[in-house]
Amino acid sequence: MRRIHSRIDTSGTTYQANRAHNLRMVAELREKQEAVRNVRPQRDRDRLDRQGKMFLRDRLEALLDPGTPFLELSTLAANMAYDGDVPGAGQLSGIGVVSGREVVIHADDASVKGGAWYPLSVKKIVRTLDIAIENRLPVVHLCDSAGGFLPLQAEFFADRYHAGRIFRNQSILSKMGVPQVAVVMGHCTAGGAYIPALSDYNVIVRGTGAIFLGGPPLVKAATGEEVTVEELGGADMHTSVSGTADYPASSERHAIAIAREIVGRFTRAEKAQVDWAEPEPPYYDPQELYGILPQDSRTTFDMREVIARIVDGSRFHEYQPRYGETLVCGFARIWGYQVGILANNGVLFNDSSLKGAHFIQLCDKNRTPLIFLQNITGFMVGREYERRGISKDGAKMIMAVSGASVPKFTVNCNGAFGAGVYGMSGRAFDSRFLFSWPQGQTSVMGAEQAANVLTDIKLRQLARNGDTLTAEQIDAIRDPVIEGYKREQSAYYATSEIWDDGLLDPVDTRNALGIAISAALNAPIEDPHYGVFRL
Amino acid sequence: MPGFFLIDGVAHPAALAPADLKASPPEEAIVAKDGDHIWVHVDGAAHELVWQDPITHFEEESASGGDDVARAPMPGSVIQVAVTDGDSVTEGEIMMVIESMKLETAIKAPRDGVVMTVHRAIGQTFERDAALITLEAIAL
Amino acid sequence: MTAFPFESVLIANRGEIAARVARTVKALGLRALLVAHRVDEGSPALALADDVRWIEGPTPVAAFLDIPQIIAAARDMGAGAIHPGYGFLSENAGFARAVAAAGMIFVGPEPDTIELMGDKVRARAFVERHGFPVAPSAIEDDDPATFVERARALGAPILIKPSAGGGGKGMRIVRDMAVLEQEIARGRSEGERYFGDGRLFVERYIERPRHIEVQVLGDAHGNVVHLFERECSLQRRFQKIVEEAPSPALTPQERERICETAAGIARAAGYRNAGTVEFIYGQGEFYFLEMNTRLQVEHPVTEAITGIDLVEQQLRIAAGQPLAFDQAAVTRSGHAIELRICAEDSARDFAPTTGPVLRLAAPAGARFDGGVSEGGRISAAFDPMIGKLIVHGEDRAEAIARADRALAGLVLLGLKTNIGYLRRLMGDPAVIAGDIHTGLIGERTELAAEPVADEATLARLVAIAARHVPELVREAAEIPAMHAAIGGWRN
Repeated sequence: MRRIHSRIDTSGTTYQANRAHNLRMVAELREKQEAVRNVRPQRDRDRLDRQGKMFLRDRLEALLDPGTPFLELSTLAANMAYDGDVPGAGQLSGIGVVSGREVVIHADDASVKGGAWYPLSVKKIVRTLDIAIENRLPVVHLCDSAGGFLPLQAEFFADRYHAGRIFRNQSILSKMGVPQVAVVMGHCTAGGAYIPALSDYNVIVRGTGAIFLGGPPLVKAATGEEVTVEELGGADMHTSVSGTADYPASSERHAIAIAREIVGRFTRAEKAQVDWAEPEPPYYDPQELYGILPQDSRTTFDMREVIARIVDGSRFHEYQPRYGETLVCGFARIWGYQVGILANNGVLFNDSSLKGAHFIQLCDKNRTPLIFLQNITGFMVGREYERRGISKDGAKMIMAVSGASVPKFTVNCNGAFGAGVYGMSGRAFDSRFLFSWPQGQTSVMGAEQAANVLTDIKLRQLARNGDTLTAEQIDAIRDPVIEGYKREQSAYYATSEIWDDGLLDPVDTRNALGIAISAALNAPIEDPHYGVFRL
Repeated sequence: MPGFFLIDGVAHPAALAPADLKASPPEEAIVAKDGDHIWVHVDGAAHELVWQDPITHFEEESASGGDDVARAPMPGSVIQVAVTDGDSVTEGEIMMVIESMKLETAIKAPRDGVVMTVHRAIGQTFERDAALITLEAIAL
Repeated sequence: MTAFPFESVLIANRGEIAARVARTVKALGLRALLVAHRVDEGSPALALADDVRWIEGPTPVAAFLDIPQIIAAARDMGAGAIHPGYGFLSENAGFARAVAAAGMIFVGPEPDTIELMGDKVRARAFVERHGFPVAPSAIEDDDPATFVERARALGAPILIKPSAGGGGKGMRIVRDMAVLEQEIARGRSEGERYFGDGRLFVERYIERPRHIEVQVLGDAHGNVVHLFERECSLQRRFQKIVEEAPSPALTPQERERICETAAGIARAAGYRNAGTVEFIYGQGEFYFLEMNTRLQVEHPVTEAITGIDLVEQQLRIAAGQPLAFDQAAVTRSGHAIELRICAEDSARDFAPTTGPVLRLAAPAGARFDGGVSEGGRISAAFDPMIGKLIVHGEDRAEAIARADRALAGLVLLGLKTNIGYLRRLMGDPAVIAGDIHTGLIGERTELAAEPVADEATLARLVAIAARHVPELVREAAEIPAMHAAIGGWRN
């Protein structure tokens, strides 16, 4: 396969300026991640110490196989919610290797509000378990939660994808034959009690672990019965009397060791067969991505330069290189796995939409997973394009994206605006994983564009009455719109709301996709079949 | 599964990353195995490392020191304290009496020793496994 | 070369010395026969032996002390001679007689000589009578009335010993004659308490004494030569662990005197075969201690500096051959050190250890006389010596450097040994300076403890050993290849 010939001038001023800008962006990302992962008020740390509990990150490292990667998901969930007071939504989620098996790890963070579940915590857990279902990955739960955050119960209790979904997903996993092991390292109260109860295996730490529907205060209030935590739901009671828990452990590390041994008993799923070759690192240094991504997201750049810094050997077999050139399509390998890549080099026209729809079907027939590298401002609009059937051609692409049976992976590299996002496998299209780079904005349209549309509507209303607006009045309409859009279309907002599975430092994309593809192949791939394409 | 090596009685965490497996072993080391005992000759000296699987290790870790602490066999409350800090006790000597489930239970010295701490006073309650009396550790 | 009157030699011993004797026996074209106990199965001597008979007893040691059983085995194999090695029956006159009575040749001195030297009091009297130096002493029994007077006349310091004593009990050192009578009284009461016998004797005490011994050879034709001295002052629990030749303490004049004294004693005794005259040396004086009528453990240092195979000489002398060299032809070169490799824990007062010998590889640049093979086992049945390292250098400093290299290069895995201790001992400034005495090891308690390895070494050990834990290896190998290649990456 031919290597992409890079045309980047790494000594040029644009490259250097981009690089400085993007390094700042990444430094900001790293700083926020570090804060979410490790920075806690001393009193919270002290409380863990007093309780003899390990910090969540230490639990994680003890659980994972040494010298193996961990792909953390939605690290910055809730970073723009709850006044930023619930880092990571009080949850940890990710894909790691335990006893040689790829597993999903879900953990409550007791150092954040005692591990209480906020609405976004629930959303994160549900998404984590969706990932387990879609990719048939065993789950390790590290349970340590005070229960739901009651003041916000309306936002996490009753609806279809609220807390009940966690337990529904657990049950479905079990039904699918995908095992789960829960390690009870703190209290599992109320709904939380069902996480260990619905896990195929569970381990409970003596002294700190407890499982009950209602804790001692609730019992006292309800029935007047006075009962200790240990009597009510401690390790010895549950492992010897109720049978709610399976293995008692004398310490957290002991519990983790037992859980690791349990995971080591899981029969490995047979992986879906896709074309694979010995991996090769990219020929072009991924660090150069920093100099390629523009400072202003509106500046165009060639996505082939990005592809060259993600794929094996920077090799790319481009499909239809001369047709529909605003959508770059072609085959490459990531960590040895053959993938079909669709990347935006501009707005989607009729021809690029047709090309995309066709290429998706080629990949699906060929059992080749799909990678969408989004930098999309939308489908082309205008009389000429409507007459050529841009909506009809866009529908073809959306039909292909929706129907493809092979796993899909999406990275928002720069921008994801408008209906183009649908064609490029946005969140609604069930990509197995969706990541975003720190400058990757997403919204129904660009901020300026939206402001213009809104002021235009206002001006027309006024014009009907013969009124008009001063420049100041126009700005007064425009500015809040732009400000609101800018906030809500930022990558940090998207990831806060869990519209993606997390932000990536661009240089991490290759590893993240490798781990994601490998994980996705634990689920069998259905035969290709589609709905009706409007021809 | 990462475990531990006991070297001169001290536990050191031991793990093997897949990369370690691939890297060629240091040539100067000569290794011999006898069950869980691994002998390593390196830099002109022989060392004995005893492998301990993690589950055993953590079990023993929490069990060790158990000899120093008299723990509550069940939740209850203290009804009598027979010793104070610094008292010498002999194995089997009654140090405390607790009441639990309407039963009086004597807390006896697990071994000969000196009382370091009495953790609960008369009337105080406790959970199962709570430390009631700690003896001064014996230097090994 | 004169033919031997025997074609085969039974080695009535085990361990390193059995193998060492067998090598020379075979090199001389003779058959090496062996008696062995089952606990030594797979040992080097068994691999070398041309024939073997298994012997047994209530204990393994008892088997090697069972004269009738050994003689029967020797007869059964048609042995022409019996080499007793050291220890066991090597200084047993009865055994020597039994061997002769069975029509075989005992490779060692005449039974009478064994008896004479085996009786410490007779031996001392014999040596003194022939005008050789013994430690000045006063025996209470000789004339109880003048005992104190005679003791005082010896001059300080003196050592008071119970006549019936042993093992150091009741011994008192007197450095100030003013308290002599008081100490004698105490010694007497201790003697009575420990042994039920209050009789005492005193002898001149040598401060910080050195143990120096001289190797001698005497043939059946009245020729006696010495093969210079060995110094064996480094002892733990009254047993030698490091021996060297020559002694760093002696002036050439002293060397000549002590060696000639030893040869003179052997000559006076009509000594035949290899023997060792042991002296206590200090402050320029030396006194006869005892004579060992056998091959010594530490004989290889003499072999190293003289180039003479002592076992070969023993066999030739036993065959009736005259010594092929006179005193003038015995020369020495360089400096040799022997280090006894023992299964023991220096940190626990040199308590014996046991265990399997999983790996055993002798270092280059040294002679290793081993008594056990890889795959064998050190049991508590015999003494804890596993083998001996012998190094030879141009001078003492070079020999010490080689000793350290050899110790470092000796691979012996499966049980705790004194190798590390020997390295620490050989690095002691007093040892390097040659300023040693029999009490030195007892004073150097700080050398006994195994130093704790530094963090870097510990990490290295753990990393090396981890590869040998099947559980760890299997689990590392189970990591999917891509995840293994990505390694400990975090996003």
